[in-house]
Amino acid sequence: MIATLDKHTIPLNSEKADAILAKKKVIGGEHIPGFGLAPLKYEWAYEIYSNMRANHWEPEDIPMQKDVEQWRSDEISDVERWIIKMGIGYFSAAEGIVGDNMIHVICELVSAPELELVFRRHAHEENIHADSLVYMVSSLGLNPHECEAIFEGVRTVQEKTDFVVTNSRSLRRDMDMSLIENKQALARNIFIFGQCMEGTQFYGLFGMILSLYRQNKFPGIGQMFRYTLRDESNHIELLRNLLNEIRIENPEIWTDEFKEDLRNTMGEATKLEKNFIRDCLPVSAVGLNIEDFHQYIDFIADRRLTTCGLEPLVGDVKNPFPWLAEMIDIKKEQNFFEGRVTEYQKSTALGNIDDDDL
Amino acid sequence: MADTVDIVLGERTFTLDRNKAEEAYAAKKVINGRNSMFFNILPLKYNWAYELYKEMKNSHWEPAEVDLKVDIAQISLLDESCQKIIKTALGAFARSQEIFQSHGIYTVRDLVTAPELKLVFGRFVHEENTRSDVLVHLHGSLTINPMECAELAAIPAFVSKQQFAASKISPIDRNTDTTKTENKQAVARNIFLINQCMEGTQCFALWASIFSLAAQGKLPGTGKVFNKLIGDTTFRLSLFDQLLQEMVSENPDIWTDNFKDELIDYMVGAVNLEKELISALPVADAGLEPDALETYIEFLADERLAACKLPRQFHHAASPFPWLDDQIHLVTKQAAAVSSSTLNTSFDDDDL
Repeated sequence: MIATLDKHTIPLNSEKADAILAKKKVIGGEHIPGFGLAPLKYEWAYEIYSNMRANHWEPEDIPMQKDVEQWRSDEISDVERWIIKMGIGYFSAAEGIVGDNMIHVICELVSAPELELVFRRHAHEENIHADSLVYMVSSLGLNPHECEAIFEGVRTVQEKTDFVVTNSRSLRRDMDMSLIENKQALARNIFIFGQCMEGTQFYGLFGMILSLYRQNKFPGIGQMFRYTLRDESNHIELLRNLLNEIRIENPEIWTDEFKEDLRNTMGEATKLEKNFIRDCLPVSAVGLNIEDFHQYIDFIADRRLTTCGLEPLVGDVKNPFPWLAEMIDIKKEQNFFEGRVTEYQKSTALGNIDDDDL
Repeated sequence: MADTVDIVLGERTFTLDRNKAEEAYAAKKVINGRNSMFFNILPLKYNWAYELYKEMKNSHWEPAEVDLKVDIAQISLLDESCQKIIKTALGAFARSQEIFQSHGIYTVRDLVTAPELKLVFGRFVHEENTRSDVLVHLHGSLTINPMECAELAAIPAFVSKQQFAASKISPIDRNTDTTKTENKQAVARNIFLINQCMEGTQCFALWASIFSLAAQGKLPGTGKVFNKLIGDTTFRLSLFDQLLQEMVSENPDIWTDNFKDELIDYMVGAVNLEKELISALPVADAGLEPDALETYIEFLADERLAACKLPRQFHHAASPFPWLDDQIHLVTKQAAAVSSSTLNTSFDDDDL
């Protein structure tokens, strides 16, 4: 028999290939020694992986010159500078939390090579995002203490952090994965990180920074956040597919009670995000109002729930920020983007090249 | 400067506490530092780690970009023993995570506390994916059955490598109390075993054979792929060299004479294991003299020891294969060698 991967055909022995397939399960799968990627069981995982790999970007691909000029000029208000510092401070912590959960919770529990592959890529992208924040801080010449310390002692931020960190830590132990409650605990972790955190709680600050970008403020930072958001949309889909596979392979976990539990978890996540927006985000400074912002959070939370086969919390919510969806949709620029990546690779091969040349 | 700065924004006041921020910096340590899932990389304490991360990302490569047209045309025309070497190499490479016990790197990442160290460790997940992409590209382009390769790599020489690593590695996990000296040593031992002894010296008989074939114009694309892969390995070796030094300087109780002797013994054991592999492979058919290759492994082991500030054990005056040093990115700390190469040293990347 043959397996098809990346337009390649790889010859395999049928019997051994069947044995490999039988070992692949999300929960309770067996480690496959050697090259066990082919034949694929979870084709979606390899497909998303290929997509993520094709979207590879590095922060230095994006020029920051205009941002630096604006930062130093008086066309930018202090409130606008503050929003950028908040974004950097919040995501410096948040990207670390997500990456850490991917490596030390999800990657430890999955064993099918195509799942390991795509979740390692997920963790790698959190690294790239964290590095992009380092690039922003150093380009603007910010005091990193300041960005880090902004959220020290702010209760609504602390609550947002506790919501995910407590869950992630509770899964770092030897768990008997044959027990329903442990399977549900893993499913809940996947739901929290994919749908609640990356899928909903990232959007308050994303919205703020991208509305600045929409006003042509901080184009480099805005562009990096757009790339980050494109990556996030892959992560959300990826974790949704993983949750779905667990449900298919372990139908006993998907009880009415558990579904309600997941809905309530999303309810908690949206409450925390709305409190955060209320307490921390100067929404009027970017020409938005808090009611619309809260409605936006309800809108995306409902969308996350329904795509996971769960009932919406509010129902019939209109998207008050259609422009934000357009900001996120950069697929139409893919060719442009790929062009840049090639350029980047060439430039690194040549050694040091000035940002201006790119 | 004031210890706190109040920033008023609309109805809200944010207080920045300079002392707290500086405490956070002071709490950065390799192990037993402030334990946080946060990724506050700045301000950097371990500058070398971020510099290394930058070097790694500037060397980003995609296996599928390496042209294998010549290899595709050549593969079925190669003599049997060269085919065997390539297939054994692919089989061993696919199993290298088990042979080297490299999943232990994740435990080390979990125990390390400084965010910039976690960042550079994060490259490892990407490098593991690169390895997978390499296998897809080589098996797919050369139409080689991975299961056939797995059988060739099931020989005792690889089994004993895996057993060696598995038996020596200390059973540490995320809950290990790293304030105790014996546990700090366990972390240092695993770092040294996985990276310097296993990744740093094992299977080089195979990689050297591939480079030797490529230097003769055989499977040049495959040679290029392995050249890039060993480049990634070299970054990892450098990371773990420096991490070990940093750990030792923060925790001098680790570095006892007994512990150093123990590490040296592991390296000597690793060299013997690689010699076992050399005698099990038709390396001469790939153009490598087995005795010289054994000497090369000893030379390489001495370089790995020296990088960790441990004494050399084999004391060869020069590399027996300077052309191979280039291919495996070995920057020798020995005096420049007079050419004793048995191969054409004009071999250039451009020829590939």
